[in-house]
Amino acid sequence: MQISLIRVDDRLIHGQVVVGWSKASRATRIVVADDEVAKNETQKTIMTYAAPRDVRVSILSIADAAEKLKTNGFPNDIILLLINSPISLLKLIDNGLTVKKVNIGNVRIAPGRTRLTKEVAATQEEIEAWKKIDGLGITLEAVWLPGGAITDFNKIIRSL
Amino acid sequence: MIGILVITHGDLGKGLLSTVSMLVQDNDMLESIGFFPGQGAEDLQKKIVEKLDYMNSCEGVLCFVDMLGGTPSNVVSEFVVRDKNQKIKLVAGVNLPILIEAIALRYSMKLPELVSHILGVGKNSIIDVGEILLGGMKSS
Repeated sequence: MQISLIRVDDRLIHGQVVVGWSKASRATRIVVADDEVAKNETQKTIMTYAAPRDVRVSILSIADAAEKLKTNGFPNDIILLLINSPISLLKLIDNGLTVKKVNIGNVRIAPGRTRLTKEVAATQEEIEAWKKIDGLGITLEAVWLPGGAITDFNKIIRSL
Repeated sequence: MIGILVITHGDLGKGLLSTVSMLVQDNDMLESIGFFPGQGAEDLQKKIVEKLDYMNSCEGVLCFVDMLGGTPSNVVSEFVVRDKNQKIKLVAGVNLPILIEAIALRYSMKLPELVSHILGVGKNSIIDVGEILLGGMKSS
């Protein structure tokens, strides 16, 4: 089992993931770690059908995802792990998942959220989470599409 | 009459409707929503609710999205599931031929019939033109 890519993107399984990241990461399985979606049967069904046809999908709570990934729960898979926010990412790490590098996609821009890059905004709580993640020595790169410009997200977080 | 709502990443929907207006004189209850980087599913959901309210007087709404699995598709799917596929239907993979067909037939067909018809039209709308033009010459 290999976790090929960890992506923080509040749209979870969607266009760029289906068309771009799924292929670029060579994933055979997409794992969505999200407490809300894991309890919502409708959302789970929608996301499962949204994924590329030849890729397996597991939608798990954060605790279950951490457990499966720590214990080689998907032995023959190359995994694309999707998380919707830095707070969820931190929870995964607190649940024992080893993380070295994270790719960041869309985290929506809205009132009350500070804009960090063209596609990524954060609440104060999320900024604190990013700072903790940066503090753990994890490489953070904001990239929209495979092959696209890479923004050094660690640098942005340290400047806040 | 059935309302038509085209929801896509970026301006594809807007572009399609702009092209449609060059070919068809009918823009009643015909709307589009674009979805852009930086936006979230909630933003899109709000816009869809507004458009559906606007089309409240229609006997149903046929939603078109660009592709299965994108955020437009995922967000509209939630509406379709909640509505139990009665007054809202969703077709993914919108192209110009099926849009034009839907616009023309939405006055005379009920929603389920309209969808099944355009699925057929859709499949036949993607054509290797050279094959048709030259294929005939080869055999004669």
